[in-house]
Formats: sequence, structure tokens, C-alpha cells
Amino acid sequence: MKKVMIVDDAATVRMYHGDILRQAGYEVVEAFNGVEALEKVLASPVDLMLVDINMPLMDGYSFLREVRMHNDTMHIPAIMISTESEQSDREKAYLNGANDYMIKPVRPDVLLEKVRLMTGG
Amino acid sequence: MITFKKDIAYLGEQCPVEDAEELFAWLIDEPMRKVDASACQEMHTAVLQTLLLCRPKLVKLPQSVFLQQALNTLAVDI
Amino acid sequence: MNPLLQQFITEARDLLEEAASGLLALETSPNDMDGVNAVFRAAHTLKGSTGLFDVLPMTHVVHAAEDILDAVKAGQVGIDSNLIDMLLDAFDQVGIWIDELESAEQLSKDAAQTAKEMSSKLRAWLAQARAGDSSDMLVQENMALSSQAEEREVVQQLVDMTPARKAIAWLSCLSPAVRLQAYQQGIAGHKVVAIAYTPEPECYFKGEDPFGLVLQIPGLIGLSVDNAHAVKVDAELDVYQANIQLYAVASADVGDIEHLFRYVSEQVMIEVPLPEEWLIPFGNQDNDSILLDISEQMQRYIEAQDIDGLVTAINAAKNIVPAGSWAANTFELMALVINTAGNHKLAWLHVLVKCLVTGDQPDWLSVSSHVNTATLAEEGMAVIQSLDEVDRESLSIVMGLQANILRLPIAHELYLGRIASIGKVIENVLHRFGHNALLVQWLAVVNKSKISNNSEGMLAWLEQSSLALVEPNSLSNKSNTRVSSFNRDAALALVDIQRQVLAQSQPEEVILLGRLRSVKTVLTSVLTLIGRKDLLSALNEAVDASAQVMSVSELVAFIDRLDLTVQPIQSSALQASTRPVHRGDPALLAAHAPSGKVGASDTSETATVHGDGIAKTLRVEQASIDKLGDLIGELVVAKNAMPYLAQRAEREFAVPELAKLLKEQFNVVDRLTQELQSTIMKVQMLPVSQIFQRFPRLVRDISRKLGKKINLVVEGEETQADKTVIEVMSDPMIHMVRNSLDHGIESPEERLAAGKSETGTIKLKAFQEGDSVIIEIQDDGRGVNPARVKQKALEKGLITEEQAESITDQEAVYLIFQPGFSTNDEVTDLSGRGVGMDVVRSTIERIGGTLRVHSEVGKGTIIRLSLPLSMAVSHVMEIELAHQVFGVPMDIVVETARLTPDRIKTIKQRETFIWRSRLVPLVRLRDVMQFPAGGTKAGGVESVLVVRRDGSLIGLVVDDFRSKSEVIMKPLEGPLSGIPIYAGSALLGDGSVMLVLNIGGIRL
Repeated sequence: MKKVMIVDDAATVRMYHGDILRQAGYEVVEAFNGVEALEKVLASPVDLMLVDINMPLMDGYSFLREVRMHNDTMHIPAIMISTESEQSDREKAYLNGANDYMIKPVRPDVLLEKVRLMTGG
Repeated sequence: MITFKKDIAYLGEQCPVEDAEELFAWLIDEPMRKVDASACQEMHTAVLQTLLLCRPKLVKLPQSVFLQQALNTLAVDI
Repeated sequence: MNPLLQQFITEARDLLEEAASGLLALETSPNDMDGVNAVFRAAHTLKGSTGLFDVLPMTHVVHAAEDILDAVKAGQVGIDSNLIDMLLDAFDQVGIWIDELESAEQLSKDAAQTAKEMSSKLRAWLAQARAGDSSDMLVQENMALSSQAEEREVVQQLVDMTPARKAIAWLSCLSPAVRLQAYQQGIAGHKVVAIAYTPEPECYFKGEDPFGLVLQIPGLIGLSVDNAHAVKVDAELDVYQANIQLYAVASADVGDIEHLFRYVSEQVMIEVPLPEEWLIPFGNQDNDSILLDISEQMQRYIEAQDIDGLVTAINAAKNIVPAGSWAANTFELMALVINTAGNHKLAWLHVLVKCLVTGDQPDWLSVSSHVNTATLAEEGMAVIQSLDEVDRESLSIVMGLQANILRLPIAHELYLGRIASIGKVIENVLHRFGHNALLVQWLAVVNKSKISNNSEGMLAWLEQSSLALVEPNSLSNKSNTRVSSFNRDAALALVDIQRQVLAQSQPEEVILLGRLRSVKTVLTSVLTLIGRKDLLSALNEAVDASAQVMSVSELVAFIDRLDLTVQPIQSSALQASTRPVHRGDPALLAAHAPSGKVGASDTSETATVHGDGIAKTLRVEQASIDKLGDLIGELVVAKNAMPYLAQRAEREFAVPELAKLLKEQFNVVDRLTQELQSTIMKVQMLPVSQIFQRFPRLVRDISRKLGKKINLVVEGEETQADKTVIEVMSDPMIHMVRNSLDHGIESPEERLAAGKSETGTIKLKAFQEGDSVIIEIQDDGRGVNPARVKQKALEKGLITEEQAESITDQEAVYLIFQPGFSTNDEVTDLSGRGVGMDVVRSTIERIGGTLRVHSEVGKGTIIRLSLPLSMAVSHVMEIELAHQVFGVPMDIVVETARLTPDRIKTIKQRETFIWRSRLVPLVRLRDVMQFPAGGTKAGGVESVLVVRRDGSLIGLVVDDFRSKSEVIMKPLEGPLSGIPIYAGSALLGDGSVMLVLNIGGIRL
């Protein structure tokens, strides 16, 4: 089973994304900020990360940069999901290590399609 | 300006918002009363609403197609 | 309620609380950037979540607040009390909406309007604050513009998230004749717009004429009007409360219609249906089984594309079904489709035939996605026609995006991460579609980029491949034919690269490990792809061996021994799947290292996986906990029956052995029940901060209104108490604090005149003391004047003149808790709304708590509440009265006494006795409860229970005392619930019900 980590400080968003993924048969790991996410992903790597930007303690950008510098985790695909819709936000996400960018709220079918592609199953 | 004669209310050419109250009072007073809308060319929503709430029979329809459509759930008794 | 919404409501409340307390903190320290950030983040998070639900007004307001906070964060605008007021109002409004969501699962109709006003206000403030002193008019205008733009943006977001098309349920509200016209216009290629308009109830008072507005719709085709909701039509009805629902169809541009309705846009829905969506049958449905045969026959004609046959069938069927029925109308629509529709004819007929039998509305969406492929593709939607095409399109989209990312500049330290993650993304995509040939090629390219520190190769490969992918016949077909030969070559090339990678490195330990692992990843992929999973365990062992000796040698040796030509791909893949643990490949036996630890590492990984998925805390519905509490309560009662059973076993049935066993078993059950009780009690505990956290806001708002200066001090907010206690105490606490604010603390002038500091202090303090939670509300205000209180009570007839003379100053203070008492002459708009301190006292007593007051004139007042830690178990003293058993809460019982008649004295017409040199009034419970007076006992000895009430003592004369016991007390329901002398009821072990008395509720 493919494992996807959802990093978001909003429990509702975690539940929304999590339910979509769980229903489609993915294993879901949740983290509510960058620090917790980093601890979890370093302890046990995942196949994909859905990462929010604005979070307490460590935001999504810093988290992704950290992930991209660790040997064990640098390869993990990441989709940034945020409410910001400016092109500059998109670019900033890519510069910090995201592989794709989605605007909240995401459509379940679109999210699933991306997750399927990026996890390979 | 509405003219009330016996059991029929004759709507005027214009049915302004003030007509609603008078029409309503007259219609609920006696359930079998009817309405002649043939002269009516303009009807305020409040008057229309009153007709739709009280649902009197219409003895004559208005000329305007759209007014007819607006009133087409009311029974016609010509 | 759906769990996601439930989650949202819970989280939103937390966030609002966070935002509000953050704002209050900012008022005292406006430059605390961490504070600003916290409030901003709460708003931001909330906004993100609102997007998941149909709560646009909420999104609006939160967004506006977030923008202001963002500006504060960026230092563009400063924080002051007015801003905090405004933001608090905004969050309060959101809180109200959350309540609405909880009760109705939707927002009220006026939410949109409220949101508009509120967000306009916020945005106007922001624009003004930013612009400094530019003219108000301009600001207003800008504000309106930006708010419109933002609205459009939010709407667009919602449009983006709605599924491709939604069925427009209300089209059937238009009359069949109008629908027919709409269809004909649509099929003729005209744009047809449908409008639903629900005017707000007050619209007539605003001079609006909705029907008149509808008549102004350009290109109006037809309309339909009805009452919006059913009402009782009688003389009471206000005809000027709009209750009307209008639908219209027009052939016009959406923009023109939007313009016409611009002032009432929230009340209007505008849709552009496809022509076929107008085809909705109507009429009575009858379940004639012949329809089933007819529809099957028609289906066959449609599938055979035999239109002539279908027409004949329709004509025949028309005569069978009743005129004006659902079926008859469906046939008419089918005939219409045959005569008018173009190449979608068959698909449409299929949909119509289906609803012939089901009686459902036609499912036009099932065909529209089919028919409008071209349009959908234009909109950038994934078009599903065949897997191959999707496959190609998805691939090219992902590849294009990753290529774009590669083109962006990159910091040195992130380079490898970017390469690796992009490598992985494309690897996974290719893997998903089984493009194994491409995959091997790609891995080789990625590896080159890793080594060379140059990603141009990857970029070139991505560009080439995505180009090839969009031309259906160029690459994928060709590569398919070459898979087998390509595989091996590419795999060998890749393996070779790994060897180079290893050879190249002379690294430190950490890096060595990382490199080993990356080589392992690549080799694992390669082996898997070419169907040699059987070699994986040997690979693992080689990697482990290398790691152990801190040298790449073992792994290099493995690669050197690797012979990929030995086994045919297909059969080995089969082997790998049927015998997953097989490791005995002869070609690799030499590379075998001891295999014990492979298994071990597998388990630990599984353990980590499991450990990861489990959350540390769990939110549980209150109802479940309550249910659990009830069940435990019943368990306690059932348990308490066991000693009785044991007794009966011994006495009635004469089986002492069984009685003994029962008693032993009782002890076990008793212990378990106690543990259960204490566990559920802990689960139910909440910190008193749940109550206290409301006060900074309350005190701030009220003191500002009253023009008083107040410093609120909170202590011990982490003290825990039973959830029920916390919930019940919330309102009394508010009342007491308000009372201190209103009547206790003096105005600044008055305080100065009295030689006090201008600012008054209210202190809330909580701590645990034994089995109780103590809450103190202390103020340093003017205190309660006993003389004035007595005077007042006398005037109001609450006490007699004799009583006024006899009661002490300390006792007089308690008069403020008498029903109908108010010390202040003028009733402020804040307190004095009919709810007095008497309600506070009765509430506290109802939950088994007590209240004490200490007040000193000029110095202040302390109210001390002693509340039960838990409501689950109460200790009561059982007493007998007229052959019934009642309970008296233990915590007010001071002593039991037997009084001989000579100790009872009548003073001022009241029976009293001297107890430890204090004069204690006697109360005969039989009188109070209106039981007949009991006969005199031997020697006239009275049983007296000395209890504490309002800080003084009274003696209750009862028939007899019984034992103390632990009971689960439940509040009374039904008619008894209104009687103040009862605190609740409790089940006793023998199954009987005992009423527990509320001594505070006894009238003296």
C-alpha cells in the first residue's frame, strides 16, 4: 500500500484530504506542522507528501527544503496545497522543492489523479 | 385601482404595491370570491404574491403573455 | 452530521477561540509579532477550511480579516482597540455562523448580506489605514471594487471546485411550455439562460419589485412564479413580507442578466443549461407493467439505430398510455428529439427511455460529458475516452510541469533533492502506466544528472518524451515493440552507472551510507522492472554487508557477479510472484550473506509503520461519553444489588457457600467498577480555563461600556473539574463577574475619591481542595453594605423587621442571593435582566456545590464556590422521614445530634438549640416537606442533622439517620424537576429510588 503524508495545521483539511486518500486505498500519515512532519518522514519514509504552506513552528517551504537535503527523503515527491493562487506562490513552491501545486479547496478527483500519478499506483 | 363588485374584483390597468393589502383583505373575507385580470397591464410583485397565496379563480385572464404565465397555476373560471 | 463538517465545526471553534484570545493579548502588547502571527494563522487556517463547504459568506469575512492581519504582520498598519473591536466582531459573527451550521447544517439566508457588510467594513478600514488620510469617498469606492474582485475570485474558486456539471434541479419548476420553448431556442443554437430568483422577505420595503425586474430581462422567453414557501393564509398574514419565487428563461448573455440583477445578486441563480437539459417529462406516473415491455422494445430499436422502428413503436405506445401522463409526455419528448436533435439523437433517446420506467428525472449529465468532449478538453479537464489517451495526456502534463520546475534556478544545497524528487515523480508516473522501457531510460538519465551536477539531460529527455507522447503514434508504439531487448540493455547501462557511482566515492561515513542506499534504490527499481525480484534479497544483503564494513566493496562485488541474462524475464517474474521468499538463485549464491537480520529489520519497519498511523489523542462525541457514564451508573446499581442477593442466598435459600462466592465476586466487580468510574471521571475532566477564557473579552467589553478601568487577574486556570460542572458553571460565573463589574467595582472617580487606585481588580482563582474544586471571584470594589442590604430586603418584603434585627452583618450579605433582590437602584443594561444572584445560588446548589461570601465595606467582596470535582458519584447521608428514605449531600452535613427536649428553646417564636455555644435554628423537615407531624418519640429525643447553609448553621429535625452511601445522582425530570427542594434522584442497590434533598432550596 502506498503511503501518503498530509502536512497541514488544519484538522479539517487533513480529514478531507485523508478521507479522499483512504477511500482510494492509500495509507495516510498526518502531521500538523513542519516539525512533526519532518520527524515522521525521517523515521519512516512515505511515497508522497501533501504539504500546506502556512503552518506554526515550521512552514511548508522550510519543511520541504529540509526534506530535500536529507538523503533518505530527498526523492519523495511533494505536492504543495495552499489557498494562495498567485503565480509567484506557485513558483516559490517549486523553488523550495515542490513537484506540483494545487489550490485549496482541491477537487477529490483531481487530487486522486495526481496522487496516483506521483505515487505510481 | 381595484374595483370590487359583488364577488368579483376587477383589477385596474396598474396594480401598485398598495393594492396588495386591500385585495388580500377582500379575498380572505370570503373564500369563493373571484378576480378579473383582463384590464391589468402592470402588476406589482406583492399583488401577484397575494393572488398566488389566496388562489382565487380568475374569470378573465390578463392580455400580457408573461402575466398569464405568472398566474398560470390559478384556476380559470370563465 | 457528516464527520467532515463536524470536524470543521470543532476546529473552527478552537481557531476562533485562539484568534479572540490572541487579539485580546494584542491589546495590551500590540507589538508582539508572535501574537500577530498566531492570530493571522488562526484566520488563515480557518479560511482554508471554509473552502471545503458551502459557506461562502464565512470565507468572505475570514478572508477580509486575514488580509488585515496580513497587513499588520507586514507592518503596513498598526493595531488599536478599534481594530481589535472590529476583528472580534468579525470572528464573533463567524462563531454565530458556526452555530448555525451545527444546528441547521447551512447558513441562514441573510448570511450573504451580513458578510458583505462586514467584509466591506473591514476592507474599508484596511484601505483607509493604508491610504492614510486620502478622502473617504475614494476609499469607499476602491473598497467596493476590491471587494467585488475578491468575490469574483472566491466564486471562481468555487466554480473550479464544482464537478464538471451539476444537474440543475429547478429547471422543472418552469412550465412545460416554457421548457419546450427553451429547448427549441437552445437546439437552434441560441444561448439560453435560466434564472432562479428568491427575493428576500423585506424587499418590498426597499422599494423593489422582483416581478417587474424579471420582466426587464433581455430576451425573456418565459417565466413561472410561485410562493417561496407555504404559509397559513389568514388575516394575520403580512402580505408585505415577500414570499415569492420566480423562475425565468431568456435568450441573452449571462453578463447582461448579471448586470440587471447586480443589486440582488445573492438572491439569484443563473445557469446556462444544455439544450437537452430542458427535456424533462411531466405528468402522473403509473406503474403499468406494460411500460417495462415498451421501454425494452424501444431500447432495442435505439441500440439497433432503427429510428423508423422507434417512431412506429412510439406512435403505437401513445395510444396505450393515458393522455397527459408521464409516459405520454416522455413519448412526446422522444418524438421531439427524433425530429430536432442532431447527432446526439440516439444518446438522448436512450436517456429518455430510461426515465420512462424509473420515473426519475432524465440523467442528462451521463451524456453531456460524452457529447461535449471537445469543450471539456478546452477547459483543461482530463478527457477520458480510452486509457491510452489519458495515459498520454497525464504523462505529458506531469512531464511538462517537472520540466518547468527543472528550468527554475536552484540553490546548491537543494539541487540533489530536486533531481531526486523529480526523478521519483516521473519514475512513478511511468511505472503506473507500465512504460517500463521509458522508465529504465529515465533512471539512467536521472543518475547521470546526479553525478554530473547538471540537469540538462533530464530536461532534454522530458522535453523529447512529452513531445513524443502528445503525438500518439511516434514513441509509445515503437517502444512497445522494443521492450524486451531494450530492457536488458538499459538495465545493464543503469547497473553500470551505479558501479561508477560507487567507484567514484571516497566519502565519509554518513555520505557513504546515503550513497549505498541510493544505489540500492536504483538497483531495486531495475531488478523489479526486468522481473528479477528474486535477486532483491541478495542485493539487500550485499548492501548490508557493505555498510557493515564501511566500504563499497561488497556491493561492487555483487554488481560484478550480477548476470542479467540468465533467466528469461517472463518466467522469473512469475516465480517472484508465486514464491516471494525465494532467494536461491544459483547465479547469486556466492553473494549470499548470513540472512538472519533481514527478517529482523522487516519487523521493525512494520512496527514503525503501525506506530505512525496511530494518533495520540482521540476526539470522542460527547454523546458516547455520556452514554458510557450512564452505563457505568447502571453498572454500579447492578453491582450494589449483589450483596442483597448474597444475603438472600444465605437466608432464604440457605446456601451459604453460594453467598460467600457471591460476596467474593462482588468485591471483584466492585473494584472494577470503581476503576471504571475513576477512569470515566478523568476522561470527563476539563480545565476551568474553559470557563475563564471567556472573561478577558467579557471584562474588556463591559468595562469599556461602563467607563470603568479594570484589571482582570486569572489564577489556577489549569485546575480540572468535571465537564458537567464546567458547563453548568459557565453562566453563573458570567453573572457573578458581571455583578462585580456592575456593582462591585466603582467608577475611576469614585475610586480615586476613596483613596484607591483608579483601576479596579477582579481576580478569578481556581484550585482543588480535597474532593472539591474551589473557585473564587474576588473584587476590590465597594463591598456589600449590610445595612443597605437589610434595608432593601425589608422594603422588598424578603425579611421581617424582627429578622432584620436578628441577622448578623455576615448573614445579611447572603440576602443578595434571595430571589427578587437587587442592590443597585438603577438597573444597568448589562445585569439586572431578571436573572438575579438567586439563580446563581440555585444553580450551584443543584450540582451539589456550595457558595460563601465574604464582603467588607469599602474593601471588596470574595465569593467562594465549592464545587464537586465530579458529578458522577455523590456522597449522601441517608435519612428517614415518614417511612421514606431521603438523601442529604454529605458535604453540607456538619454533625448528627440527638436532642433531649430541654435543649430545644423557643426564641422569637422559633425553635432553636445551642450547639457548641452557637444558637442554631431548628427546622422540622416534616413541616417543610408537608408531611404529617410524627408522634413523639420515647423521651422526646429528636434526631437532628446539623447542616451548613449560606454560611450559617441549621438543624434539620428528621425521623432517623441511616447510613452514608455513594450514589450516582441524576437530575430530576418531569414535574419533580421544578421543585427546588430536590437536588436529584439516585437508584439504591435494592432497586428503589431515593430522592436527594437540596437543603438550599428549603424555605425557612
